[in-house]
Amino acid sequence: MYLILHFCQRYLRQVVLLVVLFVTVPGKAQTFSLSFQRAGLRTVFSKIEQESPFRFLYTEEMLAQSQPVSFTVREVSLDSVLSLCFREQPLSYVREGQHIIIRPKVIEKPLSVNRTLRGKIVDEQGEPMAGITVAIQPGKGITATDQLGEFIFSSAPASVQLSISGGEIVGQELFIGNQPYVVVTVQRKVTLLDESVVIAYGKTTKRNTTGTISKVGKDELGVQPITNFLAGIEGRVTGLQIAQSSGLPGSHFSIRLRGQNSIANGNEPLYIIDGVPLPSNSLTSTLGGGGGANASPLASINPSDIESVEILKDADATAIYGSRGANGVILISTRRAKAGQTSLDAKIYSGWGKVTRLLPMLGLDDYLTMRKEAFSNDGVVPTISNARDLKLWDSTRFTDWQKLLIGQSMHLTDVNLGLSGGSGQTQFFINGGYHKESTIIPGDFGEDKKSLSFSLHHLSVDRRFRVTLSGTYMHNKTFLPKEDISTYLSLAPNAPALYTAAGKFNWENSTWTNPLAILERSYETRTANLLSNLHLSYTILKGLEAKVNVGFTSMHMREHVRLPGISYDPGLPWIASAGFGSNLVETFISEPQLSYKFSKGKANLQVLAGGTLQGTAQQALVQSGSGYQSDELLHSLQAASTVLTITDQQSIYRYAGFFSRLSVDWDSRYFLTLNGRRDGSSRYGPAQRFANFGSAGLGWIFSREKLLQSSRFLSYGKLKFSMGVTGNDQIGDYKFLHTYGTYLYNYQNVATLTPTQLFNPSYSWEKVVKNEVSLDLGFLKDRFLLTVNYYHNLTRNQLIQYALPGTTGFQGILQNLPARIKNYGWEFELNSILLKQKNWSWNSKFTLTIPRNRLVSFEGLASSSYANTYVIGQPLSISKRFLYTGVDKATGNYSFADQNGDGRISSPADLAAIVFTGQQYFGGLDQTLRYKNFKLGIFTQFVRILHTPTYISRFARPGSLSNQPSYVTNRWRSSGQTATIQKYSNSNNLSNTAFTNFRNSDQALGNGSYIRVKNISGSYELPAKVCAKAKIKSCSFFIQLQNPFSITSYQGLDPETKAVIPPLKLFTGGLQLSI
Amino acid sequence: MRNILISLTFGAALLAIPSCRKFTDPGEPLTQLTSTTVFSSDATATAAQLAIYAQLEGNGFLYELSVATGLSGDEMINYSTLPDRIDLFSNNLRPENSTVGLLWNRSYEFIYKANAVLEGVKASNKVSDPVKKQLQGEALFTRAFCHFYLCQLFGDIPVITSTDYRQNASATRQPASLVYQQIETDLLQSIQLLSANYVNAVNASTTERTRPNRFAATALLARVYLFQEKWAAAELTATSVLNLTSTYSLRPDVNQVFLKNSTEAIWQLQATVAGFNTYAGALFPFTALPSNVSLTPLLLNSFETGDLRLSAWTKRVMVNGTNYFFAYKYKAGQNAASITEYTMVLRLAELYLIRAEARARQSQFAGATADLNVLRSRANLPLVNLSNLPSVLDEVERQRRCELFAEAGDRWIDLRRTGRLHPLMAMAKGTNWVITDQLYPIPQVEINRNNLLVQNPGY
Repeated sequence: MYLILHFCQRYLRQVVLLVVLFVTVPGKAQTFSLSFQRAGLRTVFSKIEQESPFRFLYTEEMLAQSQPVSFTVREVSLDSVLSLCFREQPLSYVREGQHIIIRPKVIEKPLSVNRTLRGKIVDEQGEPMAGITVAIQPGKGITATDQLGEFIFSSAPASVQLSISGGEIVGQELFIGNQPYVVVTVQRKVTLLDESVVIAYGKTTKRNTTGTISKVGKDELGVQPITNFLAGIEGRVTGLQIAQSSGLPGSHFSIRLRGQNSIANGNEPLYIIDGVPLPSNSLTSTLGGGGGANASPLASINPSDIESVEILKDADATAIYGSRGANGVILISTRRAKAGQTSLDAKIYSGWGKVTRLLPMLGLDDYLTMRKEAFSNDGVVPTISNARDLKLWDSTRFTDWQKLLIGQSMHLTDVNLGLSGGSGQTQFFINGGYHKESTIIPGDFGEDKKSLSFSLHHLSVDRRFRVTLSGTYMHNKTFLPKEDISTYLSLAPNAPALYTAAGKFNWENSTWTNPLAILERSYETRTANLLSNLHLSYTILKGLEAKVNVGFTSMHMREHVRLPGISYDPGLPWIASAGFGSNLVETFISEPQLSYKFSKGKANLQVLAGGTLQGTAQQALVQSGSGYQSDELLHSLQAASTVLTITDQQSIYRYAGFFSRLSVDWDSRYFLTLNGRRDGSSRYGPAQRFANFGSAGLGWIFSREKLLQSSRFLSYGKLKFSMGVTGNDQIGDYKFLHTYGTYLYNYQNVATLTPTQLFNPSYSWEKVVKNEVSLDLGFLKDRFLLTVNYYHNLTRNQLIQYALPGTTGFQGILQNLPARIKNYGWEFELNSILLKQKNWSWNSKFTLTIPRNRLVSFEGLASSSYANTYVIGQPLSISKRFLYTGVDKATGNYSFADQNGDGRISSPADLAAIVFTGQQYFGGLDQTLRYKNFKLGIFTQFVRILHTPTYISRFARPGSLSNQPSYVTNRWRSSGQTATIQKYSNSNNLSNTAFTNFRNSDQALGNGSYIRVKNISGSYELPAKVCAKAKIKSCSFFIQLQNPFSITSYQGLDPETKAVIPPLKLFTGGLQLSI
Repeated sequence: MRNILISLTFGAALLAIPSCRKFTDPGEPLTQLTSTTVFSSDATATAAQLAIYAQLEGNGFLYELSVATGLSGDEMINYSTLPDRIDLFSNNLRPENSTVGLLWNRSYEFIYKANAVLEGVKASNKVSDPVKKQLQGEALFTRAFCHFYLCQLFGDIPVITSTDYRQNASATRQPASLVYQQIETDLLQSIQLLSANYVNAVNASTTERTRPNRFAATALLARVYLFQEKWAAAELTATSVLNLTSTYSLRPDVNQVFLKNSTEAIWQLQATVAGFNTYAGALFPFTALPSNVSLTPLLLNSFETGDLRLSAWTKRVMVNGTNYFFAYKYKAGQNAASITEYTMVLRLAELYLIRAEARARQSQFAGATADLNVLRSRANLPLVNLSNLPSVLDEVERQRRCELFAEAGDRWIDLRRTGRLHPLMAMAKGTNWVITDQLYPIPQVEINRNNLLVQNPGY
């Protein structure tokens, strides 16, 4: 690292020019114990030079002006010593690695202009940055910041271009108007290894941690037109399986971190936003709607507010969350206030979208052929009752239902406006977001989000007290169809006209369900989401800090279902009704903590101890109204003549815990972390309420060993190992009590009471033992960084909603399962800097995860409810199926292996095929190319899954009154023929049975692998000079393509969402502006 | 200032450490009651039993039962495009059929709830004695009622007499004879416990026949005796109810049979669903082409000319020159102005038919004919004089068909009892019918979750 320091012309007569070559040496702070009485600075300097590698650079003239100093210190840092030395001197100093440069306190420039410009350089955390070179109008003036990060030009032009550079930071150029004082935030230049990573109750770096943590930063999220950050991390993180449930706005994402730990209970990770846990369950009530797409509470966070998402995976990273860490932890950090000139940032984009894939369907002729052939195969004469399409409907009419119902274009607009700024002590950040999108379904459906967030940060003058207050409020409104419209894709192509001549919905004498009338049934949600967080800390002594984190979240979802009269066939007795739901979840959390840092010699120690108190109250009310005078009144419950309360429920969850962490390292080479937690949860019976969790992690940076230190090829090497125990309390409240709730209906004019669950007073904690070995390798000065993880998690004493036969009166009970489940797998991540030149750069990140799981043991499996579901030694994600043996050439029906030879295909005796339905591997490749001010990013995701439900699970048998994908044309037609699809049939029992068995056969699961270009983003940033002329800080234009291409052989709509509405491909363009 | 900040920070920290044990105790749920609380008062204990009736009506259990058996049998034609309905109609049932699953699961849910009431009341010392007796009687009756229908649909079935899920999860199918034994025991005990009056929610007498009383249990017992071919007992038991002429009598006008608090009612279910009087009244009618079910020509043709029941209990809709009929026993459709009808569960007419058959089997043909003529005369049909067993049985079968069609699957289960189901359906349903279609399949989920359950033949 080179730094050239120009001293101003004014001092040329003292020292002409000082050119110093600096080399920064990473290392631990050395401490000094010194005592001086009226000593000259020179004496002090030589004493320090004797005891340490630090060297002072100064001129005799400078020291001539200095005052003698007196002080006594014990084991204090160099900075402390220097601040004592320079307290009353006309001099100041700058540290550059081992060099301490002395200079006069005031540096002025002899420019022919007339004002004083003072300023301060701080890093992203608001910490002052010393020794940063600040230049104005190239060649016209240069200085460096002092220990407080401050600089001054006594005579600067009214409008100046500041150029800020330094070894540790990313260089910056900016234009300053006529202001006397500026605060500039600079970005520290860090490699991936030294980038700050958020962990439980603190921060670390990839280099120093013993845990396994993946990070997705705002750079990766920011290039995607998304409304839920989960969509943005899909495919980018090893070990994390994410799938969108539907292409409709606000829909839920299923998420599994390192496989399925639990057979049938919560597998959701713990979400923590700025220290406050977020409910991960959908707030959607029984009213449901939107095509079965449960609203995700995570959609209530504006992705633009997110600074980074950290995914904590192994025991070392998660054990401190104890009972909630079993399924991993996802930490969401929101954007923080930054010091600097008040800045207005705007990001606006807009675009269009369509579904990724449509199904190739039978055309009119093929459909009619199919129906006629089916009746002829069955030997049945078509009648009005069994063939209205052939006997009643117009056989020449054709409608492409798919195109009509899910083939529309949608439109989206997204605007974010932010304001930030502040001094070195106090900073603020506010951001307002607005997002609006329509859907690909005909009608007025869509989503509308508004959010406002803020963050305030203050640091006391003595830098000991810190306070951060942040909050966000989002209002999210979705308006979706009540019914899943994708079920109507199989309407006969000659189904009747949508409207009558009079412009009313056509029901064709009650012979069909008009899908446009169905779309009149709506499901509206309005979610208000408040997240707030207060963080206070105080440094009591050096290294000893007391902190408290207090948070409050409130999520309130209101639902409104409207089923208007016009959506019903007037030939049927149904009438208008409406549903009203309200679900409120409020969480309060307080986490006091005490941390202590201590270094001696090469050893560094950090201790953390704290406690958690959390209370969550949930209140749900669902009501329905019927007997309306008019469809227009469906918004009102009061206008209903009958009101029914479907759900009225309140529950309380309380959680308390104590945690501690000890981290030690020696010489930044050997690392040890110990975590411990004792947890209590109200979800367990009194006897089982408390449990202990903990972990140990070891790390060894072997590249720092002498043997490897000189290696040119291997620049970094680290081996780590962790093991520990975590738990899971996603079991719902009050499960240990035998409770009765109010039943839906009264009887004999009194409210009635019904048991709500089978109860188990004695269930106890589930424990997941996590083990991991991980290897990090850096090659060629860390241009290539490879991480390989092998994890091995064993779940014991599983707490599950144990499935029970209906003879018990319920479908299951919460109990501990005497089973052990092993989740293990490999994760690979390779980060490469393929090209790094002045104008060009090319970075890439490749991830690959190979997840596996096994049912290790299951006591009494054969006599349990799972006897026909699981096999010991096999993965959990298996499906027992009939073994398909092809289309019988003689009968034309599907045939299967008759395992027990009884001449019939029956379950479970003939379930001969055990099919693995899980993902074999998945991953992604992210490429970022930069040429001058142009940037191009391409992210490709891939998933390999060989057996997944195809269109067969959703479509009726070929030949019935329902359209089919065109795959079915290769059907059996005559005796002796080889075919892949059985003969068309409408009502033949043997064909129908064969088809039902086919659905339950291995053949009904097809290849669901896909490679998808998930995102292409291109941007162009205006050069600084142009910005200066336009008086703006920066400006860039971008286009983004989400899901533009997919390669898959999947038979069905989209392999990700399967039977329901596919994800969308979006094309958006926009602009980002900072003034 | 600094001291204030320090105290603030630590004050907050200290505040956060009260007793964790106390903090993590969630207390009693706010919107639910624990079972101990439920069975600590007459009102709440009664509410636990009433929920079963509310659900029986609220879920349309009897409607589903009559549609399923009506489609499997020869009473109804399917127009629904739901595959589960199509399969019922074409006798192509699969163990995955959702209607079959619903009939099974609901029945066992009711049985669980009845057992929970039995156990809760028994353990309680706070429920008063009269209420205790009434509730125990009703719970035993409910349990018998559900076991009876399960046995008719599925054949041998698990008998569930406790709430112990460990035991119930691995229950095995009991031979029908043992199931009947349990039903009989429950009903006999229930008759001892139940009040002769109909009672309301506070255990006072009422004119609403919406909770089973002693005679509801007696009427069901008469049926159970008949199904076990205990002819004498069946006759005697039926007579004991038929003799209560001050309480029970046939309504002379067939249009008034299904009204609420009808004198013919032995047990009715109070209307619960908003906008519905009854499920049957709300869901059977149509005005254009049927999209649910219609009545078969076979059923319509079985009525003798002049039978009042044909015109009163069915309704015709003509579309494009074709006639379609629906069951019209219940006249009140959706959103009727007031509640005038309740779902009939047990009614007097059936007891005449039970006694007629029981008498004929004991060669009391005159008595049998007299019972049949009671129903014939109300339907405005000429009286008959039958003097041998086949002719009486034949007339009982026809009268059951015309009197009790679309009522809780009476025809289906009665034909199966008499062994006539297979021959009749083989004729009516064509080649799709096989003998094993007489029993519904045990739901596949049940087989999957309880290895000890064996599937019925043919599935």
